[in-house]
Amino acid sequence: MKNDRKTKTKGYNGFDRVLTPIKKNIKQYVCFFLALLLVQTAVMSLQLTFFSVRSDVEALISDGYTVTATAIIDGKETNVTYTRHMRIDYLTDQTRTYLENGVNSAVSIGQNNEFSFIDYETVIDAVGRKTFSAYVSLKEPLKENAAKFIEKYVDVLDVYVPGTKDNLAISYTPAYTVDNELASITADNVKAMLLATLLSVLALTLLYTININSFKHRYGVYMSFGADFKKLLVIASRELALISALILPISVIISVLVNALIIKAFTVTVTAFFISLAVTVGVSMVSITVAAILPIKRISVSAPVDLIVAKDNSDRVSSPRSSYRLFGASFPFKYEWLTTVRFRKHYVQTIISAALFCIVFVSCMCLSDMSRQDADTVNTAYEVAVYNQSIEDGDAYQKYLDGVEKILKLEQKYNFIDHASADNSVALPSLNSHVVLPMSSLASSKSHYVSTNDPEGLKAAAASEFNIASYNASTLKYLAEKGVISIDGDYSLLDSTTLAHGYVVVSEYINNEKAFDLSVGDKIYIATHTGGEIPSDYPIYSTLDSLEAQLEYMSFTYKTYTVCAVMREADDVGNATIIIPPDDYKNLCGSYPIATLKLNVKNGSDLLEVYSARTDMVRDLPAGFNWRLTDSTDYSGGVLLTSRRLPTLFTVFGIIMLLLSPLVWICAQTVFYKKRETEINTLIALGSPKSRIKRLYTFGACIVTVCALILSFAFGTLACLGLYAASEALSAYGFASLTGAKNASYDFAVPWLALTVSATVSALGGFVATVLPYAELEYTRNKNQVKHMSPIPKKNEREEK
Amino acid sequence: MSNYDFNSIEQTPLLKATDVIKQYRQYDDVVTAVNRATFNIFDGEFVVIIGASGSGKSTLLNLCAGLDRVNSGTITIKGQEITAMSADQLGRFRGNFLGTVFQNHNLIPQFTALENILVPTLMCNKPDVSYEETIKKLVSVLDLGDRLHHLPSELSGGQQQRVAIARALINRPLVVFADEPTGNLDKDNAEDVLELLLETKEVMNQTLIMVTHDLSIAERADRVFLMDDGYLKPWRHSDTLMYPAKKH
Repeated sequence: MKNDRKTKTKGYNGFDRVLTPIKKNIKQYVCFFLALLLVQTAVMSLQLTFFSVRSDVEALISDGYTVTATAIIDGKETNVTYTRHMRIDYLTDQTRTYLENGVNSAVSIGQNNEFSFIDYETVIDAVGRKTFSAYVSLKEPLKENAAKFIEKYVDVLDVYVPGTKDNLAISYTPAYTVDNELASITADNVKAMLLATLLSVLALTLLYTININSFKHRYGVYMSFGADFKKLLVIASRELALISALILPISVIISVLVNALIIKAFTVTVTAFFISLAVTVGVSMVSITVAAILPIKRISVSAPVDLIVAKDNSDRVSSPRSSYRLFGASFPFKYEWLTTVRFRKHYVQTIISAALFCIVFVSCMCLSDMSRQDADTVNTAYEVAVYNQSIEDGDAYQKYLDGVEKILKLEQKYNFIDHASADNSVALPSLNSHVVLPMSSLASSKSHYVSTNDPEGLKAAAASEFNIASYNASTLKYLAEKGVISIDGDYSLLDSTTLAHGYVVVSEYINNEKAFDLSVGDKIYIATHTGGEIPSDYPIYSTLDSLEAQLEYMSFTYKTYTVCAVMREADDVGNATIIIPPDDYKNLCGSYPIATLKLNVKNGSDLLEVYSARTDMVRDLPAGFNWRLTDSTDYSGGVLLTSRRLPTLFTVFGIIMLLLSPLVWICAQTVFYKKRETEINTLIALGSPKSRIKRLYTFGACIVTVCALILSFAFGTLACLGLYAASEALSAYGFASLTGAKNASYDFAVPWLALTVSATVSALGGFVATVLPYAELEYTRNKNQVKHMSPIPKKNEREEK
Repeated sequence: MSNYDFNSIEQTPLLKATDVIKQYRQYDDVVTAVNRATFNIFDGEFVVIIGASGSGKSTLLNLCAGLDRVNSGTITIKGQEITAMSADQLGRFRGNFLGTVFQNHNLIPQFTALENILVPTLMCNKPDVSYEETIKKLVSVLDLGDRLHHLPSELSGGQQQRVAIARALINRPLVVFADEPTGNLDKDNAEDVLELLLETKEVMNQTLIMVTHDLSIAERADRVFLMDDGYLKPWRHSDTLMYPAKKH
């Protein structure tokens, strides 16, 4: 043998051994290229998105650290870095010793699985007492270990010093929230990767099983010459691994583009890129190895002779007789119909496969819509409140009101603030108080009052399902202008009120049900508790029981108020509200009203922009009070992902899936007509005219177009309905929505655009994919004709050649 | 190599079939392709099985070559009961001890001649065997030197069959099963292929079991069996050269 052949022989034992079957059976492997492209793109995009979310949250961590640190406390800016997760305040010398001993003994016997570090700080309170605060760094998982730490070390303090626990204050630092969030994002990512691996294994196994006929002959030959299951599995896995490696660069490019589309920026770091790449390769490798096991096992237990003689009959009916029976003796009346029925398995499989991609596209569009609805319901708000401080001086209160006005004006500076709201309400029963109203002011419901007489001796109704709040007229004006409340009457009278006779603004709804029918000018009486106590054995089962007991056993003084304005259609989830002047509020509650102000962020705002503005907002808070600014939404990666990325993520994947539909068509139809080459050539040889052959292809194209159009539309609609029905059904059982909100309900709308696009793409893909093989056939025939018509070279020319 | 200990293998008979039955189901009917076949084949023999088309001779050959499973009965090769082996054991056994030449070649159409010949070496690695030497010898004997890098579709029927023979012999099997290796060939090519098989049988000291229609080949065999509608019986030179009429 010649040397070059030797080299070739050796070469075949290496890389070529795997590459050659793929190269030479490329059509059989096209579907695997596509499937792996999809798997890798999905995994890598998810990974890159995960790292983007993580880096966003990490950015918020540093932001969170400094924002909280620059909170103005007593007019001073202090920088604090939170390195501990939990803080326990108000430990006494004794309880601190017990805690320290417990912790030290756990450390010494190696049983501290909950925390990694604990230290103490001495605090001198306002009256000069010395207390201690303990700072704890917890181990992962933070939430569980925090609970364990409290149970193991803090709860036991009650045993040594009874009542200790009630006097302690346990709080969590931003580090806890942030670390918890990062851990939860990582856990979500791991879950997503496991799910992706499972789905890839499922998809590749199905693909392998569907395409197994293509491999039977070759694997049968291998088995005839000694291949066992292990050998076949190695061959199959290596082939898929090579496909995976070949398609990887394309997947990486698409993933980076998809990620850029999702996060609207090219912000992939080198570390994130390589970790994502490693995870993608890992998931691909696991998937292809596991996916090959079942189909190869099935092959390996077959007799080789069965595999070798097995023709690829996957497209044909199992018994020709049955198709004749199907349509009766007169069938076939057209050759096109005969072939359609004969190859019905192929048509059904391909149409369903293509329709499946449309279903996934439509589902993705629905999920995108759902997540957009979710994102719209994420109510992010900043809460501003005076921390741990009461106002008992009138001048200070006026200063406070000026401050509130200034805070309300922050809306004009930060355009992501939709509106501000305030709440300083206190429930009347907690003040041992109630309201007496005229009988005429009662609405139809009788369950909210008890009969009594008013201070003037007239028959009246007493009710206690009220909250007392106090706002000045300008705050009410602001809330009315913003549509937070709807108010009728002259509420400016609130500011001109006197201690002798007051004006109030009232609302009429209890739990969104109209309970009272008050008019401007109506007189109401608010009770102030002056003495008496309800016996401890008095049976109280409801608010009305409590009210009856109040009236029976307690004594009150009543102040008369005139209703100057009524809040209509207020969104009162709880009690109705009475807005009284600030001085009266102080008389009733003991101090001036301090509101929690809520700066509600507009839906759809860029949360990163919102969070990064916090430092400036804190600086804008008026001096003189212990203002504390917190956000009502946690640093939630889930919220970020949902509000900013999930809809785009679903849309992008939907489009990728839809684009795969024509590819499926083209692959399936090309292979199909390749198999029918002998049949077509025989027809031509038997004298079938060109028009007849063309008609055969056109007929097939029309069949698939119509079927694809109908099925894609029908399946897409069903998928969409099913998705909403499932979300409704799951929501009824308390399952979380996409954002984690419980009992979420989505507005259903048939996605006509998505359905039309998917059905059109599928139908067009089917038509083009069926016409293409005919074009190829025509091209080949024309080419051959030209070749035959070319002049035959002379003998010496041939020899030279 | 595998789990098989050459020292423990008995010398004779090389192949022993006892009451072998193989049935197929065709729609509602059950066809008995091989009916209680019992025979012995000894080391170094050239055995031919003849019979009419559809009489079950290829099925019997496939059963003996471990390419198909019996419904009942046992087949033992070199003391190892192949009918009791698992699929994987049987696969390894085939790779190590058996070689098969199919009637329709069964070359992998996408592989070149050389790649097809090398397939068994990839399926079953024998570290003590020099494949390069064997290939050289086979290529020279089979006269495939200038066709090694051609696809099966670019080879003639005779060349394809020679590639199939080379593939069957590359692992130096103890027993070669050939299913009508000359069935699709013209007279000259058929003669060449037969000569090749007999020559390599002698050179490699193999046992050759062949299914054929060609009575001239049967005349050159050590022993001949006749397959008649699933039943196997010995056939003698003195018997009629005509096949018994196939029962319908």
